[in-house]
Amino acid sequence: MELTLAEFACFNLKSKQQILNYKGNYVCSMVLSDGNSLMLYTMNGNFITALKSTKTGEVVQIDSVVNKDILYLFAEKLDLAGFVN
Amino acid sequence: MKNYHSFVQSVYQIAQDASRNGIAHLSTQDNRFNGNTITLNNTKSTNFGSCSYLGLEFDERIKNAAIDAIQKYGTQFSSSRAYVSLGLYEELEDLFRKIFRGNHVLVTPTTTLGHIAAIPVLVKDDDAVILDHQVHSSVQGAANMLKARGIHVDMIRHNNMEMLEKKIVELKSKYKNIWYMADGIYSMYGDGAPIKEIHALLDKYEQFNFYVDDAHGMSCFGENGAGFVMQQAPMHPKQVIAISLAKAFATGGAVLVFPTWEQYQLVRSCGGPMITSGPMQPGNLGAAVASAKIHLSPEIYNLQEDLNENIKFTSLMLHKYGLPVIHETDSPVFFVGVSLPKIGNQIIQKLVKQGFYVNLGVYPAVPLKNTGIRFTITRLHSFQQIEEMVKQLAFNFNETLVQEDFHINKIYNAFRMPLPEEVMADQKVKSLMAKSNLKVESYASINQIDKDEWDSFFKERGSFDWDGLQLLEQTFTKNENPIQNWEFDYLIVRDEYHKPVLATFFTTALSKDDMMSPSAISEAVEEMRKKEGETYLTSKSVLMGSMLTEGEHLYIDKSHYHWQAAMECMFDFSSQLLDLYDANSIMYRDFKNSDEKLDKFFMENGFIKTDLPDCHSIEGFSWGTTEEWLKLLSPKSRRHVRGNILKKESFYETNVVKNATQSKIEHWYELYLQVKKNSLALNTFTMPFKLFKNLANARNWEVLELSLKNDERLNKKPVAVIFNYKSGNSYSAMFIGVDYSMQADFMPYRQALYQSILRAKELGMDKLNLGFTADLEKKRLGSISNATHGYVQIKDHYNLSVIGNIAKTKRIKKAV
Repeated sequence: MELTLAEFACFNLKSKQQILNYKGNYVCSMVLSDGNSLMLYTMNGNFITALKSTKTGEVVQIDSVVNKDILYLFAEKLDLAGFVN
Repeated sequence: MKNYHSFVQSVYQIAQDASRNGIAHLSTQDNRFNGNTITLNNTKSTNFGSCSYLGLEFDERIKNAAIDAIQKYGTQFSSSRAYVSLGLYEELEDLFRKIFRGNHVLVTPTTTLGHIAAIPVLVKDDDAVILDHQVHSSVQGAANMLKARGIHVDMIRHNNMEMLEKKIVELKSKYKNIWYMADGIYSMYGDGAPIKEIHALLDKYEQFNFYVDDAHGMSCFGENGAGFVMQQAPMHPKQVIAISLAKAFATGGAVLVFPTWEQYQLVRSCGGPMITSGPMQPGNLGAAVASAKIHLSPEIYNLQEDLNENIKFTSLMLHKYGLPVIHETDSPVFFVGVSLPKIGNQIIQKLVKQGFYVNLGVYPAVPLKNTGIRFTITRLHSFQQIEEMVKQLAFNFNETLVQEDFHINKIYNAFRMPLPEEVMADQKVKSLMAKSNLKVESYASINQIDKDEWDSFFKERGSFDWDGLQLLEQTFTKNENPIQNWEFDYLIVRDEYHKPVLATFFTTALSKDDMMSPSAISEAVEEMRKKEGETYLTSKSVLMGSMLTEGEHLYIDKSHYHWQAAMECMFDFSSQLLDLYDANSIMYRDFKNSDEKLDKFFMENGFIKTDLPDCHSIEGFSWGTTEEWLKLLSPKSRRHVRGNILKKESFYETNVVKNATQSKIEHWYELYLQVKKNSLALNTFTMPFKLFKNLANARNWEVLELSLKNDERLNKKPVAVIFNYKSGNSYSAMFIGVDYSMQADFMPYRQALYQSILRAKELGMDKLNLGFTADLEKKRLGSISNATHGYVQIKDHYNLSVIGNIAKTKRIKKAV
């Protein structure tokens, strides 16, 4: 059963990760300037990002509303910039 | 006691059915557990029936502590705590004192033993107890022990604070302390007690005290996992908490938490099981110490949060899949209503086969009509496991409802929940599409039914042939007193060829809930009615037949292919009447022969079998003289009849009265009232005068009037009257009136029964029905007593629980 973004937002980080693991589709990831990595998922027609700390290897933040600039970066990486407007 | 046997039989049948269906009395087949799966019936299943909500049973620290304690102290330390306790007890109680913010704690082997230790000691002889209707049976069991000491034990509707306050006000002038006993989290529906409101009452009323069983709340809620009650409000100085260590705490054992040192000392020294029962054993104590340390560390909050996330996710899924959840709460106990045991059984059978183990919430834990799928969520469940289970549950739920042609609105009705809009729309479509080969005809009056056809169903069965019912309708409608008005509903189910498969009738009326109780209980209830009003402990009941008819009220053609479907139509019809008249119960009655198939059929449709009073009849009137008749009786009965009836016969003159005058009928009514006043065996409302007036002038009724030949009294009025109904070759003695001032010298009651036998013989009848009660008197006249039973479905058990409480008190007082 699909979850809306509002419902998804009600859960804590650990739970969001659990939901992403079985409901989300991993798209790609990129390494940020601080060395941490940002992973992009799609779930129920929405983009979701998960920030992983390189130091601990754990996900430290999950955002269901993705910054447009970040989305451009992912699009460029995927060579899909033309589709994102 | 007869009904207690029925109760055991009903529970036994439910348990056996569940066991046969492979959903109860199960055993795991695993050599070792690995997380939250268990193997049942050769199927690996995710366990949704565990109360170990935090999953601590697999915590290495707790397991090792148990092993370590056993290595050090052996498998048991076999001594009563009254003599000596293992040192681990002291360590454990120190830790619990910290968990419970310095309050006094006593560890007991189980919560049930904790209640048995605490309740009889805390509640004094001049105290009173009020139980919540749904408080756990272990608390009710301990409270029942108080009744042996004559302690007043009362009951309120579940979580009804208004009623609680009313009771406190009522009892406070009569008793020293008033104890309210409730659960923190209720084990079936998972809802919680309104702790803050209870505390407000504790502050308001000095004499008011609170005893709460927080077994399901411990560890899951509150600072250091001190439980739901402590989470809601700090410990109250007049509150005692009992918690279980055999659920989320994961070690076995229990703890009593007292606000005062005196209470602790009293229970420690005098509580029965604290003296005579064995202690918690070293393995459990070691484990409990380790678990308590986890509770005192910040780790407990992570565990609670994990569980809370799972609870949140489960609620969300249940909502999304549109399942009827009873009480949406934050507790790990969930209950999806299905109403009928047969629906619940099928859903769970499917779930178990699909690899999900859940519990059937069924009678006696909940009323039979409020059966449901009860499941629990633990920290060990993954979201994926939860969603897969809920998805399968929803699929099985909908599939089973379709297979059983059972509409979801019946479930919402059974639990008194509003129907969601989308379900309502769906049901409307389904009901429009529904087609059946059976045709259900319903009528609001016997006048709308063909007399010959009705009589072909019921002639000679009793006073409910067409004429008999017309008289009842005339009597029990359009009366000023609403208690004397009944609703009449008739049902005929036919097949596609118009052939009748089933016929019966129902009356809906206000009835006394103690109607079937022993006289001593009705006596006590009648005393209460004097104070509370005549409708106290009464409720509307949809009754097959009526309160004034007796016999087989159901015509069913069991050779017909669709007889069971016809019965289901009847169940639907009676359920509609229940809603239409806002009644509380449905009773199908006067079934004579034991029929396992029928029992099962009724039970699957939410009815509990209940024993009814024996009904009496005399069959065979081929004897010629009185002497020949006497030879048919036992020697003892013969002596009785000769000495008490035949010896007095010559004093009497018996007349069949026709065209009685108003004053005569008034006198008969007075005689009836004397009998009514003296008999509570079948406690009904007093019949109206109008009934006797109608009987006196009815074609099929006969009034036998007994007068004394040489009556020396001034008024010389008749001393007994008996109203008999003629239907074909059957004669039914229905009402009797007696002048009890003549009882010692002339025994008019016995004479009236005897005269009815003679009259039945004179009329050439084959059978004389003598109705219920007065078993011995009727047996002595050669009547056969027929055991009868009924099937009952009750929406709200509160009144019966109150009467049950009175019954227990009476029984105990009698035993003492």
